[in-house]
Formats: sequence, structure tokens, C-alpha cells
Amino acid sequence: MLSALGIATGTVIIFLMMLSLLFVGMPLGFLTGFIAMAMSYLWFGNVNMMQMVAARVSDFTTSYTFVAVPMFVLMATMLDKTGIAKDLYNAMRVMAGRIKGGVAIQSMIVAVILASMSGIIGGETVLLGMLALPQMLRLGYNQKLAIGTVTAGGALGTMVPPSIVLIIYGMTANVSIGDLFLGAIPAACILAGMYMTYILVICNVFPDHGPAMGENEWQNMSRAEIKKMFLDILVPLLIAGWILGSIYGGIASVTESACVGVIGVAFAAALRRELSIEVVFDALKHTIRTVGMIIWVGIGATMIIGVYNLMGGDIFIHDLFMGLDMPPVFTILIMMFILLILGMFLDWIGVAMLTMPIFVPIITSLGYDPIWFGVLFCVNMQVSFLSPPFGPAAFYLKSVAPEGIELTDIFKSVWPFILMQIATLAIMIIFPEVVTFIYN
Amino acid sequence: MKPSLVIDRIFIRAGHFVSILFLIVVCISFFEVVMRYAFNAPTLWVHETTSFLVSLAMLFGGVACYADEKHIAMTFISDSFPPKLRWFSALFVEMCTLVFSLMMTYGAYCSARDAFFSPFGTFRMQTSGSALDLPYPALNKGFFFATCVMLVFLVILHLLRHLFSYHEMTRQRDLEKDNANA
Repeated sequence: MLSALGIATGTVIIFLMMLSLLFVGMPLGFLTGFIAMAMSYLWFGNVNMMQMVAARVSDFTTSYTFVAVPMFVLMATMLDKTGIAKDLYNAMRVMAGRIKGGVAIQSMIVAVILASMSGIIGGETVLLGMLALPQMLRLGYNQKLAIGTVTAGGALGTMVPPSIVLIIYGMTANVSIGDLFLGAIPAACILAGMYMTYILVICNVFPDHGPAMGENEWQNMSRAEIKKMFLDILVPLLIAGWILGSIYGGIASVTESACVGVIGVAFAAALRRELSIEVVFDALKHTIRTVGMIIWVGIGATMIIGVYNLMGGDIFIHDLFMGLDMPPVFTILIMMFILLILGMFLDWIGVAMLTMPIFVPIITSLGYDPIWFGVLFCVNMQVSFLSPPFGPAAFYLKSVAPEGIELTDIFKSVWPFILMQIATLAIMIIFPEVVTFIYN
Repeated sequence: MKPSLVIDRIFIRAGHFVSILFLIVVCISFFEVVMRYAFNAPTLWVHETTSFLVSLAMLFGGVACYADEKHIAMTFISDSFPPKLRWFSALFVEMCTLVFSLMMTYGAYCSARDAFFSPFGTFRMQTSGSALDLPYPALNKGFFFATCVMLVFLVILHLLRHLFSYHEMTRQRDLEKDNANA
């Protein structure tokens, strides 16, 4: 039995096993599950542990909160199959006009509106990559600025509520997802505001980075065109209001609001005559594929955390942090650093489910607010979407980027945005009130 | 097409049908919201049924994704291995996956057994204990066991396919060598 080795050695063994299996290319969900199963037997020397581990999986898969994840994925994929987002982008052209860097600002505003309808990243990045990026490059925008805007804007999908990152956090940390969504609003505003300020400053200091378009287009638009433009902007706002309104109006739970959102998108698509059996089935197919991939990560993480905590891991890490002779804010900084590093290599859902069951009790016993910490986590995962070597937003963009734009170009373009994300984290740590005021 | 690939395709296609469960969940949840908010007559069955249906769809989706070889994995290091080492590392990964799936199957079997039979061996399904008291927990644990069995089957299938690919890999390497010599 390995339990004779003590938990410190056990932690090192688990960590080394994870690292080596990750490097030989074992899928994340299977490797965590494998280590969990192997440790449950080797550590405790008892086959009954396997039943305990399996029972945890049943609890995880039947969690009512988790239902929201496939529903938000389904909603976002249905949205992608309609022209709602594309029309919104075109309607927002009026924003671009004479401002320097106008198209980049327009793209960022569209990104925020899209993010308030969708809780995932991927669809948004792809859409901006197909619409905004070619347009900015055609107008002679600086390539790095254009790529950075599109990648960082697309990643906002999980920052602006609704967000599946916050749902998974709320589920593992057992806090109110409604409050998490509220707390994420100021954080998202700071982040998007910083992005837009950066674009404006850069384009005014270096006018060749983002030239203005010249004429204001709406001056020579017909009445019908203006009407269509208003409708195209109104529909997405109505959908976003429909989802958040159903939560905060006390009409639906977060899980139900996702289903209500699917109905809303389907209704809008039907009005636009874009709803068909094929669209629905395509979206369903995509949903089960996405969920099928993340379910293993969830199952594996549930298993390994269950086993690790039974080994005494949670107490071990807790004592380790408490034993530090430092002000509590350093604990937060160390955790943020760990999350940043993990986020570079692991999928966000893996990071959330592996670390949060251990981190959140420490945070609460230090007297911090777990909801504030959840919003911090959400911003931290924004970094992980952009950071090399696996930033998913970069990969999504690469799949639709014009020829000649390589992954390395994308990673070279995103660093100013990563710095702004880290600056947002710093602001939130120094002034927790910017987040907490809204739900208190 | 190879028979083993046909089996994979069957699972993937079945996954597409299972995904209709998501649509059902959307409809019944919306029904629940309307009944509760507009008619002040909340249902008893929707809440439990949605989590049950979604858990079925997600578990089967996991199996279908395995059949489709879609994984969240970090392969950039193993992709840079020379072919022979890559073959062996992939074999190692498949073996670990097999061990994992077998152990998980055992655990799922025990938990399903306890959900369907009392300690005295008489048949009684574990129920949710709510006002409705449906046997969803038992069915869910039973389906989790079925999922594990399907996974073991597919892992063995993929493992065998990988073993047979050794011959192809060496032949391809010889071909490349011949081309290089010529």
C-alpha cells in the first residue's frame, strides 16, 4: 500500500504521473481517471474504493446545474447557423465611420453583444475571424492589432454572462451562479473598456495602424436600410435581454434560462426564415460532439479529486497554504499564478474541476468571497484562451484566418491583450469592490 | 471500409440520434417555465427528468467521441516523436485507457448492483426520494455501467487496430527508405 509513503510523496507521485501521461499524448479525461483508479487501488489497497469513485461520477453527470452546459452550447451553435451575428456586424458599420481604428472598435462592441448571447468561445472567434479580420486587413489595419482584437474579442464569450466557465465554477464551488454572472459584468466591462482604449490610443498615436474609413455611411442610407439596421441591432439585444431577464426577473433558473435561450434563438431564426430541420439537427450533432469531449474531462477530474481528497490531499494543500508566513493576498497571487500556468496546458474545464474543490475552501477560510474569486478565475481563463502553446481562441482563429496568417503570428499578436487581462486581474485583486458592489 | 471503422461509425451515428434528447430537454424545460410562470402550476417531473435525460445523452456522447477519436489531449510532443516511438507511446496510452476503463467498469458495476438490488439480493430499484420517487438514480447508474461496457469494447477494438497498424507502419517506413535510396 502506498499510503505508507505519506500524502506529500503521494502528491508528487500524482503530479509526475499526470505530467508524463500528458506528454505522451493521453487524453486529459482518461489520464486523470486512470491515475484516480490506479491510486484508489494502490493507495488504499481496497477494491471497494472503485465503487466510491464510480458513484461520484453518477453524482456529477446527474447534477442539474450541469444541464446548462449542453443547453448553452446548443444555443450558441444554433446562433452560429443563423445570420443574426453577421447582420449585427454589418449593421454596426455605422460605428466605424470617421474614428481612427473604428472597425476594430466596432468588432469589439459586436464581440461584447455576441458574448451576452453566448456562453462559450469558439463560434464568436470564428465569426469575427471571417467577417472582421478580412475587413480590417483590407482597410490596411496593422495585422497584429487586427488579429489581437479578434482573438481577445472572441474570447469574451465566456466573460460576459451567460458563461459556461462561471457555471462550472459555480457548480464545483457551490455558489450562486446568478451572483457570479452579476459579478462578471463589471469585470467584463473593465476588460472590454481596456481593449477599446488600447485600440483608440494605438490608432491615434500610429494612424497607419488603423486608418479611418472616411465618409459616415449612414448619411446616404435609405429609410428602409436604416430600419433594417435597427432591427439587426435590436434582435441580438432582445435575445440577450431575454436570457438574462429570465434569470434576474425570477422567471427561470440558470439551467432553465439556457433552454429558454434556445427557444428564443429558434424563434428569432424562424422569423428570419432561417429555421429548418437541418439547422436544428446540425446544431444537435455539434452539441453532442462538444459535450462528449468535455464529459470525459469532467469525469476524470471528479474521480481524481475524489480520490486525492480521501488521501488527505485537501487538508495537505490547505495546511501548506495556511503554513505560509505571508499576508493572505499572497495566497491569492500564488493561486492565480498556478491557474495561469495550468491554463497554458490544460483545458479550462479541467483546471476548474481539478483546482477549485481544493482552492475554494482555502479562499473562504481566509475570509475571501468565493464569488469574487470565481470572477477572478473567469478572467484568468481569458488568459488561457489566448496564451501559447494551446490558446483555444488562437486555434479557432487559425481555422478561418486568411492565408498567410500562421499560429505563431496569432500568438505574437495577442500579448498586449494578455497584459491587459493580467492588469484587469490586478485591479480586481487590489480593489475587490469593483466586482463585489454589484451583488451585495 | 474496415469492419472496425464501421463499428466506430455506428456509434457516431447513434450519437446523432441520442442528441435529440437535448431537444426534448429544451422543450420540457420551456414547458415547465411556462407552466410555472404563466399558469402557476409547476410540474413535478421536469426537473428530475431533464438531469436524467442530459446525463444519458452526455454519457453516450462521451462514448461516441471516443469512437470518433475526438479528445482533449496534448499531442504536440508525441507528434514530434519518430514513428516507431510514436507507435509505442500510442500503444502505452491505449493500454492505460484499457486499464482505466476496466477499473471504472468494475466500480460502475458495483454501484449499479447496489442501485438495483438490496443487500439481501432482492430486486428493488433505487429511487430519487422526491415527491415523484422515480427510479432515475438506478437507471442512471445502470446506464453508466452500460457506458463503461461500451467504452471497454471500443478501447479493445482500437487497441487491436493499433496493434495491427504496426505492420503497416514498418512497411511504410521501408517504402520511404526505398524511395530515399532510389
